[in-house]
Amino acid sequence: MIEPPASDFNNSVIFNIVIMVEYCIEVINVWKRYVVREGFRKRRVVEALRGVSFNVKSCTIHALLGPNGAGKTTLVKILSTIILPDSGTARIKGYDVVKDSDSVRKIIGVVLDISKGFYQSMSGLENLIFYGILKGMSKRDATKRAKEVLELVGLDETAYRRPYYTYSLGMRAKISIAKALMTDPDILILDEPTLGLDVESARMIRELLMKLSREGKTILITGHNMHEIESISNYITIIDKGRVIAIGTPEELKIRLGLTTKIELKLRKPDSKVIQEIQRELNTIRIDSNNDRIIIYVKGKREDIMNRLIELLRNGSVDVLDLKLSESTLEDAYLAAIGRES
Amino acid sequence: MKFLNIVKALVYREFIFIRNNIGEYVVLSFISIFFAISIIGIAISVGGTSKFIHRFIQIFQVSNNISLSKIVAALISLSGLLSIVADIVGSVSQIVIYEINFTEVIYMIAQSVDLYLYYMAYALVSGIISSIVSTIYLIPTLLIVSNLSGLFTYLILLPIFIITGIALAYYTLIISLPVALILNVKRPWIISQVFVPAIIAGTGIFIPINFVPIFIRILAYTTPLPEICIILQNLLLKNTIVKSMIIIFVILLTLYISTSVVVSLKSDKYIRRGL
Repeated sequence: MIEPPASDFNNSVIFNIVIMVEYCIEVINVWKRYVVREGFRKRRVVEALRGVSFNVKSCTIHALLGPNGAGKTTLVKILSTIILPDSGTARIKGYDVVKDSDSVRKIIGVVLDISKGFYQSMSGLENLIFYGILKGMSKRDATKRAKEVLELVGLDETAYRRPYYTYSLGMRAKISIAKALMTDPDILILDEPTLGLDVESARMIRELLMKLSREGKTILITGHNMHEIESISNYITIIDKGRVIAIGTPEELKIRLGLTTKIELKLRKPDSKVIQEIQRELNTIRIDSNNDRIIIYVKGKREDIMNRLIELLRNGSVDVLDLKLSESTLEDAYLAAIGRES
Repeated sequence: MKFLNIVKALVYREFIFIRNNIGEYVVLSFISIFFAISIIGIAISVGGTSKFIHRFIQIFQVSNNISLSKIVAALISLSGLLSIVADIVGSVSQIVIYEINFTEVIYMIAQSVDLYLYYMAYALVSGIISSIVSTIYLIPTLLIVSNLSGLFTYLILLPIFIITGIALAYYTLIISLPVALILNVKRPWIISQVFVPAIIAGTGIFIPINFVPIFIRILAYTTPLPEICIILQNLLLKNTIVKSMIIIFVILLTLYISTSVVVSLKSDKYIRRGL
């Protein structure tokens, strides 16, 4: 993570050029508060973002993870120039999202809520043409480009000529991604683009995103599907309660959060002495129990852990019904990060 | 350039909406014609043609040699205002509220252009296109009633209809934006259901406004309709132009546009603060 330099240098052309080379998106100490109205007079202040800072490297897929209400969508809206931050700076390719919003809008494509955001009575094609013209394209160019991107996301002519309200969620997601690609932007900002999709549609979108990344596009994606995020992301930022709590590659996060091996153990008769022994002898980070299963997160090599564990269980003379050792997943790392924070 | 792009996009969108809702325009046209003709029909059936013409001359203080066909043509022409009010107040308020509170299309627009420019362009485009489309039925109707002179009448009236449409669109924008953003109204038809009949009843349209009870006129006076009605009634029935009404209308139009700029800018800021 790059530390923001002194303010004069921070605004200098040289600094911006240097940053532009490596980082496509920079978020520096961004704060955002909402005033939520509850009833006619009652108001409540919600701190959606509390000093969020992170950077996104060019030509990578960077995932933004966090539980519901963590501030992901707010951050996406700020980077998309839709809403303004209260304080802090966010730059895309060196352009400030507040001061240079017009320049930012030219180089980004955005997907927000995939279930809406389009005119219901217009077809997918017509919605995209409208968006293209709004972005400064001629009607002819917008029509041509809309057809190209609709084919790219896998929608045929009979589908995209139907009114939007008849679309399934999968088709709506595809239209949303097609809209983001309309102006062939360098940077894609996607808020939960596969939320609620069937396996086939989600896989198609994953493959498309990876293809776009290989072609040189920078993608910032939010989501809840850990398997999906782990399979496509180069970098991950985990945010919770409006703050960044971990940044790194999926592997780095797993190691940094101390999760390398996950032991799932099922005993005929749970013996607390044996469990305590395992906890003491192995480099244990956390123990969870799930019904009659005991889940132990341990640092160290899988083979060493296996041998030592078998030895401990033998010495304890316990009946083992099931024993499973697996590499910890991003989901484990995520849960550890969120759990640690709360 | 930005404003022009928005206008182009809006023209495209409006024509798609019109194509998709062509049935509504047909119904609107029939209702407007029916309303105008039924007023004459009922009046004639009660007291006969000559009594109707005599009474009409008294009420509108027009020359004694006015013919029935001229009265019919004038009232049908005035029915254009019904269509304009119903169409523009209805569509502008519904689109504004739907975009913000239902479909969230506002985010697609907000990530593309400045919202205040979008709203200013929308009222302009909607005002022009809707006033043309919602009064286009007058061409065949007036051709039937008055032959070619009916077509000329429409061509003379069209600029007045357009400028009325623009003023009404800005007027509706001023009301709809705060309703959508601050009151968070979820049923967009509320505005058209309340405002359209209130404006039409308060203006009178087919009768001089001083025949309308004062308390019904209150809402209508906030719109440009009473002035436009007087201008049209005088133009159609007396071939005269009421300069004072034109001045009042221009002042009102300036007021609507300048207030729209302020309301649109405030709404832009409000939306960018986060809904």
